Amino acid sequence: MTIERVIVRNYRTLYHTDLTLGPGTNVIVGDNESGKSMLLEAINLALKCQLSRRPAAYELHPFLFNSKTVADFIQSHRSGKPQPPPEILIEVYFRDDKALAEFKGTMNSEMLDRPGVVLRVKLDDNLKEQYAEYVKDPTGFNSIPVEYYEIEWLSFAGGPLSSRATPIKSVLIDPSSIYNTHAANRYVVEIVRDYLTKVQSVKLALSYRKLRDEFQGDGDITAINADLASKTGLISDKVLSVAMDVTSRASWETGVMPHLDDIPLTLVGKGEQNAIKVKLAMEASNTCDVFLMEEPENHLSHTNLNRLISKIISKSDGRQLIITTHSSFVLNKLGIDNTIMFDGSSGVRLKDLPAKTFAYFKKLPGYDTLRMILAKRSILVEGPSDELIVQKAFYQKHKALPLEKGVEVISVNSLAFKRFLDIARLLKITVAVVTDNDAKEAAKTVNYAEYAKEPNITVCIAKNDLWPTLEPQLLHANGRKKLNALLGTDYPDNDSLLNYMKLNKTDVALALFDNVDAFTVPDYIQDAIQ
Amino acid sequence: MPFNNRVILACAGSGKTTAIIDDACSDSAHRSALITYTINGASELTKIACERHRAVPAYTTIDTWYAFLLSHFIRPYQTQLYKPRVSRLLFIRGQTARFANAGNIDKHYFASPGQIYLDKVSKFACEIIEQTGGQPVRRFEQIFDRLFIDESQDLAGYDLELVERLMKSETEVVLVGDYRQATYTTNDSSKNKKYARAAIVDKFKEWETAKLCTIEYQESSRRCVQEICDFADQLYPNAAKTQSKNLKRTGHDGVFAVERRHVGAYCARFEPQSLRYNRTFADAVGHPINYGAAKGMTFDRTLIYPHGPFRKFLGSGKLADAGKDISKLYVAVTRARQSVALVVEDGASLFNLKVFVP
Repeated sequence: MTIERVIVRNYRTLYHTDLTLGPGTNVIVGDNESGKSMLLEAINLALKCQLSRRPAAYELHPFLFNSKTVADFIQSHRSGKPQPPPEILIEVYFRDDKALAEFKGTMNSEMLDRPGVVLRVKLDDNLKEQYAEYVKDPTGFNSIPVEYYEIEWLSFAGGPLSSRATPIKSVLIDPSSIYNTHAANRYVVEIVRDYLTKVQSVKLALSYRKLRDEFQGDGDITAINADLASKTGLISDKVLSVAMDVTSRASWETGVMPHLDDIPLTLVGKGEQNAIKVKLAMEASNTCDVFLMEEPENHLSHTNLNRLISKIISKSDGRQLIITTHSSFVLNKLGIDNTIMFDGSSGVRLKDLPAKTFAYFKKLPGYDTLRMILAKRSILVEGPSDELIVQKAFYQKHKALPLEKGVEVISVNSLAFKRFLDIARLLKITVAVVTDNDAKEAAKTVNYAEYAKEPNITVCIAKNDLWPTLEPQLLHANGRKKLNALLGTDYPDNDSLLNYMKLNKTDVALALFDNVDAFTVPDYIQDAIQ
Repeated sequence: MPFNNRVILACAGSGKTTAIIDDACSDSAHRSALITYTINGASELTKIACERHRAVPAYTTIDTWYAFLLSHFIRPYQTQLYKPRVSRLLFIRGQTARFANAGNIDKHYFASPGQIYLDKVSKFACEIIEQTGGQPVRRFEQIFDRLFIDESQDLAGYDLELVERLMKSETEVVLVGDYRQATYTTNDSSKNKKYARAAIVDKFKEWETAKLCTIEYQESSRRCVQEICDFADQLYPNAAKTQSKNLKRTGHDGVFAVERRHVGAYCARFEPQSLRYNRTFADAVGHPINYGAAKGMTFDRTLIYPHGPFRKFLGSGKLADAGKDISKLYVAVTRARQSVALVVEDGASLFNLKVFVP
């Protein structure tokens, strides 16, 4: 039982989102703020009708609505063209499965005949009057009146759902959102509780209660209570005594603390804590169909992350895993072909690449590809000397190295440029290519034309066939005199200088990189570092 | 024969309801739906299921006809025809929206957005099946292996069309009913009017001829003693004679006339449940129940207040005198295990009836 597709409208950062998911592992990457976490939260909300582990109805607040949606709504009222009250919509489509037939129907926005669930946050029909009052004065409100909203939670068959009988069991593993000790402890205890068998948890509850009873029967406690009883009238007219809390709140869950090597879990290192939470959650969720996991790399060292990822792979075992990450390591481990590039509205997967390109990367699951996928922006260059020159040029212009600005400069065999550009085109990654003209500028321009027309791709080819590669371009831009000075050489003519540069490419690039004085950046490189 | 469907025509007190509940609840390999008309009927099914099987098992669904239609035949695939979620019924009798033709879906089927007319529910279900190329039926087949419909003599109008479609599906359909107790129709659609009430048997027979189902007869009553069975059989002279399986004797068994002046004494001695035609019989003793409402109920002894035609029948013994509500009379007479007392005027002349003497 797996999720095939998710449609979200107006939920937090997800204005209009439509994402297709694979049946196995789905690694979701994308910029910060693109809504990756929101996506997991939305899926979890629609599957369980829960927010922050509480019934969603208690957690409604105006900021659940997308800010653009809210702004449009308010604007519409102020401009005299009032729109109806906005609704949040989350639809989760499942792959067709006989076991899910009861949840099957076409009651979804796509009118597809699929099993699925839909959660709507909408105006409560019984409170239309109050709502009308609320919007009467268009200048009098700045948000959506969630007080008049209700949650409608239905299957695609139009039947109401109950949180105890959800079609697909999911678990959201989100260690980063647990910020205080109490919450962290509760989180782990909940997972432990899920992990224990029925018999085990009954035994645990019984032992806990026995311990409380023993406390009460203890001689010293009895004496203390007798003493307190003798003070009746002093403090209150009623008899005062001490006892363990026996209300239902005081079940073992609140009184028991998980320990690791005899150290209370809350005092163990953050990284270990998170790893434990993730592993426990996966272990506890044998009955679970879908794992939603947020950035497992948080707070973990490389070795621990490695172990954790191996664990995740072995435990998820054929079940659907939807995971967000910023780590190229996680991405590489979980399989680059499972990657979904998510931009908040839709996702593209590498499987959709042209067959040749996909085969190329399948053979070479290069770290460089991941760098490009995860970077905000990338500049592809032909070799190490080009890389140094571009780095320095970038520094001269922006007073910061590319990496500090989230820009990756990646050195790629020039024959592979097109493969990378295929990915960039598909995933809408911002990328610039810096390449020599090899004395065939016109031909190269034609060659790259199909990519250059993409708004996210800049192709920067060295100008003028007279200066076919980086070195002549540098010489042309700076002149012999300046270059001699920068390199600490003294060649009398252009040919000998150029000859030296060509024979010592890397040294030349390094010298320019290290030199505190600026060099003049050739135009085509200038174009790439904008 | 490709279809395993059955229609079980049973007499009153045959234990038919108990039998289908046992069938549905003891077969964990198959998912069953047990459907009846009224909410009371459904809670009666639940009650019996709990008494005999401790709880309604997960693989058994008990529901009312309309709730069942809404959740499996209307809502899942309504979107092609109608957008607002069909959330409730408008319980009005008679034919609704007669001047809005069926193409005008909003007006023809719906009283207000999401509120469907009672007499149009099964029609709309059939329309959805038609328009979607049978999607609801395929979904239904995936969920349920067997469908039992209790009190199926109450099916009417497009209900019959829908049941016919389901009989052609993978799901096994079992209809249980007693046409003699067709006191009530689920809706007043003009469709299939000729099969209304007792004539529904003709429809069942058509299905049998078309090899959609077989018809079984259960003519033995576990409830009523033979004398009561015989008396009730007079109301349907063309039906097979009922055999009683109730051999218990109490010293006062069978059908008796009780003169009005002796009602008090009779009640003091036998403590019968009183039954009346309708609330206009306000002088009925005890806590009387209307004939129609007593369907499905069992008592040891009953005291029946006959209405005009029934009184006439008691005097003449001619069925033609008994009026149109034969089915209600049949229900009323067949509630008691041991004795039925009929209240008559003092000194009334009666056809072939023992008179109670205190």
